[in-house]
Amino acid sequence: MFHATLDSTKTWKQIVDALATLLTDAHFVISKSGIVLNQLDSSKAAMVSLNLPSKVFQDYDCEGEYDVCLGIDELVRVSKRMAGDDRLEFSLLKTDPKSERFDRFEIKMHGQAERKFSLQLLTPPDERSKKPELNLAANAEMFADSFKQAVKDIGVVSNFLTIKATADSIVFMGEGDTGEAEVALKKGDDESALFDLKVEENVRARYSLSYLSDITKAISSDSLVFQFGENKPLSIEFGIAEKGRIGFVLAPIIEKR
Amino acid sequence: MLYETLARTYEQIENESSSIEKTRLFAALLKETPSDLVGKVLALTMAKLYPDWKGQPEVGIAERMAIQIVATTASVPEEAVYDSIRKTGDLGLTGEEMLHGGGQSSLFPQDVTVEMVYDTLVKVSQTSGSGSNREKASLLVGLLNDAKPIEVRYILRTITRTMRLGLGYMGLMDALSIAYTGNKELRPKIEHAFNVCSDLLRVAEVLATEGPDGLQHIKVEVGVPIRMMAAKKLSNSNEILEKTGGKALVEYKYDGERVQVHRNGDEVILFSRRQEVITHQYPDVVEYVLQSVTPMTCVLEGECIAIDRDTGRTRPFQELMRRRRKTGIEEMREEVPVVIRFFDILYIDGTDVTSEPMLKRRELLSEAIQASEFVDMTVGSIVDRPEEIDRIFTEALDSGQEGIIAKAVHEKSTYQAGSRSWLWIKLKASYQEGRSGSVDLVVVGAMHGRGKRTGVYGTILASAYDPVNDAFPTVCKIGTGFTDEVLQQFKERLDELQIDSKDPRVQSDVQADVWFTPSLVIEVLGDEITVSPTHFAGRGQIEGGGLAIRFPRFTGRWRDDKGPSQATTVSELIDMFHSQKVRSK
Repeated sequence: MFHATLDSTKTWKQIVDALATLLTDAHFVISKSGIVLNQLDSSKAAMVSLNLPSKVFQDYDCEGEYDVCLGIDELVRVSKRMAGDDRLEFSLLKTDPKSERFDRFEIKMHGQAERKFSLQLLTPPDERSKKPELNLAANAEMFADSFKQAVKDIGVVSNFLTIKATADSIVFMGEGDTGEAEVALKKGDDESALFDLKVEENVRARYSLSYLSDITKAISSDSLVFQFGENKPLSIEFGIAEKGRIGFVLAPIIEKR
Repeated sequence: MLYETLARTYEQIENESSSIEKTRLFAALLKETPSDLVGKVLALTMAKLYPDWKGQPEVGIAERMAIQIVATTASVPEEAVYDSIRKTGDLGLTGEEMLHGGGQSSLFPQDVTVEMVYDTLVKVSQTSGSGSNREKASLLVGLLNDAKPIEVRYILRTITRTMRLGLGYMGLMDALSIAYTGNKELRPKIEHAFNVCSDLLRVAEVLATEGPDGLQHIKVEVGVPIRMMAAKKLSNSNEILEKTGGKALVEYKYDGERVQVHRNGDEVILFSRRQEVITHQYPDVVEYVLQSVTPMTCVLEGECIAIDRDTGRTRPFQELMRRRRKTGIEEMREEVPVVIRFFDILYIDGTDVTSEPMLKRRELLSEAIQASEFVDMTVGSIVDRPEEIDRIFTEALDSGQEGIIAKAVHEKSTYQAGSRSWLWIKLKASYQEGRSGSVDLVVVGAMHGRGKRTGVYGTILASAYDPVNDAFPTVCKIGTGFTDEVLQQFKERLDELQIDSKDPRVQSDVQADVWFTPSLVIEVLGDEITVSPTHFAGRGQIEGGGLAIRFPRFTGRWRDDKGPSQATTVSELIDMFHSQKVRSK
C-alpha cells in the first residue's frame, strides 16, 4: 500500500514540469524511503532523475515497492487543475478489490471541494534505468538564473553550447554562421553568479542547445550544481522542497575530427 | 544480429551493377540471418514494415522531418543539411557524412542491432496523437546517436523509403530461393505463395522457419488480397488474336476502378488494384454484393463504374474518383452512383479456382451472381476475327468505355495472380494512334533530379499555349518515359534557356526549381485529360479548375519544327476534354 500527502501544489507542478521536458511517460519507483525516478528520454541522449525522500511529504506511508508508470500528458492535465492552496493526497488503488495488483494512481485535491483523479497505470518497462556512473572533473555551483541567461545568450548565434572550465573560471561559448558568443564567469568575485568551482583539470565539452533550452525551463530553484568533463556528459542538479533533488544528465556532442 | 552487417551488405549491393550479383549478395546475407530475424531484415530492406493491405501505420517520415532529425543528431542548423543534400543528392549520404566522427552521443552507447532498428521503427510507426512528431523524431535521433556512419546512411534511407539498392520484389524472391535451396529453382513456388498471400515477409518467415515445404501451406484466404493479374498492351487486333491463339473472349474495358471483392458471410472487403482496403468508399457495392452474390465465401474481381442515374451510361473515371474520400461518403454515394461489373472469380466456398481456365471461371462467375440493375457481368463475347475485335472496340469507345480487353480462352488460360501475361491483352484508346492524340507542350520549368538523376532534371513542368492571353498555363509535370540519354539532352537543351525567375507569361501554381524561357516544344502522350486544381490551362472556362494531362509521358519527339506559340492551345485541350466527355454520354 502507498499513501502520501503534500501541502504544496507548487512543488508538485514543478516536478511534473521537469519530467515533461524530456519524457512522454514517467516511471516512478515508490518505496518506503520515498519516490525515485531515473529515466532516459526517447533519444537516449538525456536523462532526468528525481529523488523525493519520504521527508518531502507531510504524511508518507508505503509498504513494499511499486513500479508506477503514468502518462505525462495525463499528469500535466491533472496538475493544471490544482488550485494554489490545495492540499494533495496520493495513493495507489485497485479497481478490482480481488486483484493483487494496483492499477490506479489517485491524486486527491483538498480545497474548497474534495476532488479526486484516478489515473490508469501503464505497463512499466522491463528494466529500471540506472543513473550512469560519471566521473566528472569540473564541479560548479551557480545562480540558476545566470545559467539560464547564458544558455539563451549562446542560443542567439549557435545550435550548441561549449563549456570550458579552468581552475578559476567557467566560459560558455557558441558559434554559428552569423558569429560567435561568449559568457564568462569568474570564481571569487562577490558579484559573481558563480558561487563555487572545483576543477581537477582544464576541461571542455559541447552540448546541444535544443535539449538545454528545454531543460533550463524546468529549473525551479535559485541555485544549481553542474558537473561535466572533457567530452563527457553534463549533469545539472537542483533542490526541490528542501529535501528533494531533480537532476538532468545530457550526453555531449562529439566534435568532428 | 548487428545492423552493421546489414548496412555493409547494402553498400556492396548498391555498388554492384549486375543484378545477378546483387541477388547473390543479398542471398548470402539471408543465409547468415537467424531464422527469427529474416522477416525483419526483409522489412528493413523493402522499407516497409507491413504489406499495404494490412492497413498498419508505416514509419512515414517526410524528407523535411528527416532533415530535422539529421540536423539534431549532428547538432548543425537545418540549412547545413539542405546545403549538403544539394551536393550529394541523397539524404542518406548527407547523414553519413555529417555524422562521421561526431555528433550527439548517447548516455549509454551500444551497438545497433537489426532488432533495435526494427523495434524502433515499429515504435515510431505506432506513435500518434499530439506531439507525436516530436516523439518520433526523438526516437530516431536516439537510434542515429548510436549508429555508425554507414548505418546512418541506410537507416535514413529506410525511414524515407528510398533504399536505392536496385533490388525489387523479383530480386528479393530470387535471393530467398538461393538462400534456402542454393539455386533459383524454388523461385516459382515462392512467387506463387507471394501472389496468393500478398505478403513477402510472411513467405520469407515461412521459408526460414519451415523450409521450402512450408510454402504449400500458404493458400488463398478470404480477407487476404490476391495479387491481381494484369494485361499486356497491344494496338492491333491481328496481333491480339495471334497472341491468344486465334480465339479470344473480348470484354469491354470499363473506365472505372478495378476491385477485388472478398466475401465471408456478412462481411465484405474491397481491395483496390494497389491492395488498399477501399471498403469504406463503396458502402453501396458492399450492399450489392450481399444482395446479388450467392456463394457465402468467395473472391471476385470486377470493375466499379460511375453511372448516370438517368441514362444509365458510364461517367468518366475522374468523376468516379470523387468517391476517393474519407468523409461525406453517403452524399457522394448519391452524387456519383456506381455499378459493378464482375469479370472473374478466384475462390468459391473453400475452393481456389484460379487454376481453372478462363471460360470455366466465367461460367462459375455467372452462376455466382444474380444480375440486377447494379450488379452484372462484363459485356463480353468470344470472337475469332480481327474485324470483330475492331467492331467491339469501336462500340466500347462509343458507349464511353476505355477500350477492350481480350482474354485467351484455351485450357491454359488460368488466373495468373500477380503477373502480366499475354493471356490478357488490352486495347485502349490512347494506345491507338490518333485516338486520344498526342499534344505538343512547352517546357517552362523543371525540378532537380535526385538519386540516379542527380545533376540532370528529374521532372519537367510543361504548359499549353493560350493565344488569347499570350500565356503559358501549365498542364502537367512529366517524370516518366525518360532514358538517361534523353535526360542529358533535356539538360543540354534547357541550360541555355534557364532564367532567374518565372517568365511572366508562364501561369503556374507549381514551384519549379528552375524556370526556362518558354521555347522548347516536346510531344507528350497522356491517357486522358482531367480537371485539376493544380494546373492552369482552361481555368475559368471549365468547372472545377484547370485541365491536366493524366499520366503524361514524353514520346521522344522534340518538336523543333514548332515554336512555343504553335504548341497545343488551351482551346484545343478544352475541345479534347469535351469530346472525351461526349464519348461517355
